[in-house]
Amino acid sequence: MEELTYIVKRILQMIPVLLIITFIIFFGMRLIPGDPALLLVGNRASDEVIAATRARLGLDEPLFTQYLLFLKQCLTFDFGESMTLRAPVTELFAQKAVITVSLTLMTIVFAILISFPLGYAAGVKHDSKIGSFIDSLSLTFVSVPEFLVGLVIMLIFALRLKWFPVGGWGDTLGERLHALILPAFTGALGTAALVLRNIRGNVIQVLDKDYVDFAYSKGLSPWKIRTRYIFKNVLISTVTLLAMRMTYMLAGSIVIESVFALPGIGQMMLNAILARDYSIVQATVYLFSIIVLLMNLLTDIAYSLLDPRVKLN
Amino acid sequence: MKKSYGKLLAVMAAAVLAMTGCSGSGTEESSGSGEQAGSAQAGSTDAAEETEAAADGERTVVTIARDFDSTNLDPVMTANNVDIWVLNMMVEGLVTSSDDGQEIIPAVADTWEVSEDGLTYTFHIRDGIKFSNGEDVTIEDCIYSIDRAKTADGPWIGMLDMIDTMEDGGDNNLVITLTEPSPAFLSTLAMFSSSIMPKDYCEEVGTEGLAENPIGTGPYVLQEWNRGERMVFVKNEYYWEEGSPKVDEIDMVVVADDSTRIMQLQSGQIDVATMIPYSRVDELQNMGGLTVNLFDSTDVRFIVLNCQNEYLSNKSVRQALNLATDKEAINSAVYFGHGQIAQSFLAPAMPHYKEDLPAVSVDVEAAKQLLADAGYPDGFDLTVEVGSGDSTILQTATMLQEQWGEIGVNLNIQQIDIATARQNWQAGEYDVFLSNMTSDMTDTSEVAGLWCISEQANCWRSYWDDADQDQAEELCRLGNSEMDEELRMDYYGQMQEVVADAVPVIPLVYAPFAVVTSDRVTGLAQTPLGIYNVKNMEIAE
Repeated sequence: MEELTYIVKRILQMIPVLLIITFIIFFGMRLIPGDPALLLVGNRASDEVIAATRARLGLDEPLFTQYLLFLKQCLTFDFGESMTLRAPVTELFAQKAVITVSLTLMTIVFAILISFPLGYAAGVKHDSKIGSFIDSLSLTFVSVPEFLVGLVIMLIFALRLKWFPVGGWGDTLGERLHALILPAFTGALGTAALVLRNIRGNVIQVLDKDYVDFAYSKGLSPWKIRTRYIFKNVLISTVTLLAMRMTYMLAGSIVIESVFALPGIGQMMLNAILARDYSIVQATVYLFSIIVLLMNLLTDIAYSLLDPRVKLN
Repeated sequence: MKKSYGKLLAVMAAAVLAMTGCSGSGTEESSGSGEQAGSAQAGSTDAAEETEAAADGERTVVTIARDFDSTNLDPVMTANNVDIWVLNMMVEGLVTSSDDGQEIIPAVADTWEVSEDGLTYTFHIRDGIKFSNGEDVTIEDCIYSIDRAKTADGPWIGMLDMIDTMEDGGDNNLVITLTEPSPAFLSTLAMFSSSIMPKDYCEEVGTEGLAENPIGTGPYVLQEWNRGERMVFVKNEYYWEEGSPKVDEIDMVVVADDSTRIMQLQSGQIDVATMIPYSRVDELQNMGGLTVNLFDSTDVRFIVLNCQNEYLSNKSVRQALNLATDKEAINSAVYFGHGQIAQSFLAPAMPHYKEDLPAVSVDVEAAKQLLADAGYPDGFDLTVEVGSGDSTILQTATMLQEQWGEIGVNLNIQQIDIATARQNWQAGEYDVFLSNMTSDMTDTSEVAGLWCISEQANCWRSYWDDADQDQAEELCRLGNSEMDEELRMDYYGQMQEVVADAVPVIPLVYAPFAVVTSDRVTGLAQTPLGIYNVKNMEIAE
């Protein structure tokens, strides 16, 4: 019961945050120069045509009226039509978000698969050659830009070995999963490197703790010590890091989507910003904010599951 | 703990599966277009397999990749090349332009006659010609479409103002009378904006519907459009030309990244890659299995100088900057030598390009002298706004910074959002702007008017307005209405001389359209206007 109250309270707390976000994104977009009507009809259109376009798009309404309309849209989740793509924004978001969210989830799965075993190994063997090899490898992947990694990976696995398509997004489930593997792997390398370094550091710390020595002296099996005593303690900060990276990936999918020709949110958002397509930018930022806030909540819930000392209140 | 970690992974994997599987990809699944419709992008298209399929008389599919998706396909409402260049796959005018852009050739009308006074045009509509929806093309449709092109409140309003009346002349003839003889009339009818569309359909769906799916007499029909991802065009079964189009389906896919587009071509995933950066042309030319096409274009890359600027309002200053600009160096460094050095603001692919304009060669001393005479021996500061992410423009700006620096002009490069930069340029709030332009019609009058007639676009936003401009405008107007071809060339030639001398714009290079095709495909053309002509494209044997 206490947990439920907490969750409801947290969700209610999102309302003022979202309100501030709507305010910032609405007025922020309008503060930057660039007239959507002009961009839509092109530089050679006459002033009358531009004025008519502004009226058609509802841009000649007072700003405050436009803002109220946006708030209403936020409540009903109906963001009207995109001025450049002329399709309902909510529908467009749903189509594109599928790609970006699946990419992010697969990236996280890969990042976990890579970083957990390697990070643990690097921590336990930190004074051996293997440990320092993993360590320097991870440093490399933290610092190499994603587009470069993506291109090299694509060159090897798609162009030379032909195991995967060179970017793109298929029609069937199988094709789509297949198409997501390389971009997800590319994105996972950077995240895995960060997470790995975090795990390694934590493992080294925890190894020195008295309770670990105590567990050994009690004669517990090494497996039990690793999972119950070491890994569980390491996991808490790792979950935070992964949650942060997930937010970052949702927002920063543009590079990988561009390199791998995935028609996701990143591409749509970039084009919408360039064309000053207010409705897409506003809706995307708003909806992503909700996703991020919900993910933060989930992270906090995950804490309490991982660490009995953390209580949801 | 190990267990729940495994569970978490499983949940995430399930989520990925569920999302990728259940996604509605926008429009309905293509119906009756066979299995291959739309599977090309994900790499399931195997070139060899398809060549075999072609030999068996099965469906043939060609995949073309470009960097941006279209946005609005209503011919009278769009001014964007991403729309314009694909429109003629779906719609055609009474006439159209040849692949080399030099001739007006028949399309919906198979013949036409012009009265001796040049005022009455009689177009014979091709017997039996149908729209892609199976309906006959009527004179009423033609009158409706051209009237719509003339009056619709879009970027092309005014282009057909020379039309006085249109009427049904009987025997499938459309009679158009003009208010005055117009040398540009046929070229304007050949523009995408003058395309013939069915009246009923247009009225039913309105401009919003046409923006999504225009219907016309073009060789292809837009069957499916996933925004930002792919357009699927299938053969128009009613196309008037015997044996054309040759390919059953054309998939136009969006691959924003240049390197990815090229890799997809190398892997056989796509057949045609457009908008290839010039830096990759030499390398691709040496690669087997590919053909690099550098199509002649009307694309001129230029520097616009704000003639209302404190310094740039002085003609000598503008001439000095022109003398200090090393176009050769820019062409070899930025365009890898694939451009052609420009002297005129009109491209050689335009009919009235003046070949013998005096070539301006770099002369730093003369430029310095001009600046000193103008009262700026120590130079001054100018700012150029560069759209962030546009590497060609940025490289050009960086070279100009160095070249103009030699005569004491300090060019500050500001990288800002491209939409803002364009807006500032449009509003005249800039010093120097780097841009390019392609013509939308085969006639000279459009581009000439933009650069010389003040009221059209304030001399393409250079806000050039002095005695030279008056002279250029007068010559331009004379050229725009002169029916005698020799005199017309003369007027436009003088006009180009005036502009070259007054320098409201420094033309840099004429840039060809770089399109790479796999050897599996032949017959693709891109006209100097940029329009893709795909109807003669076929799968090589």
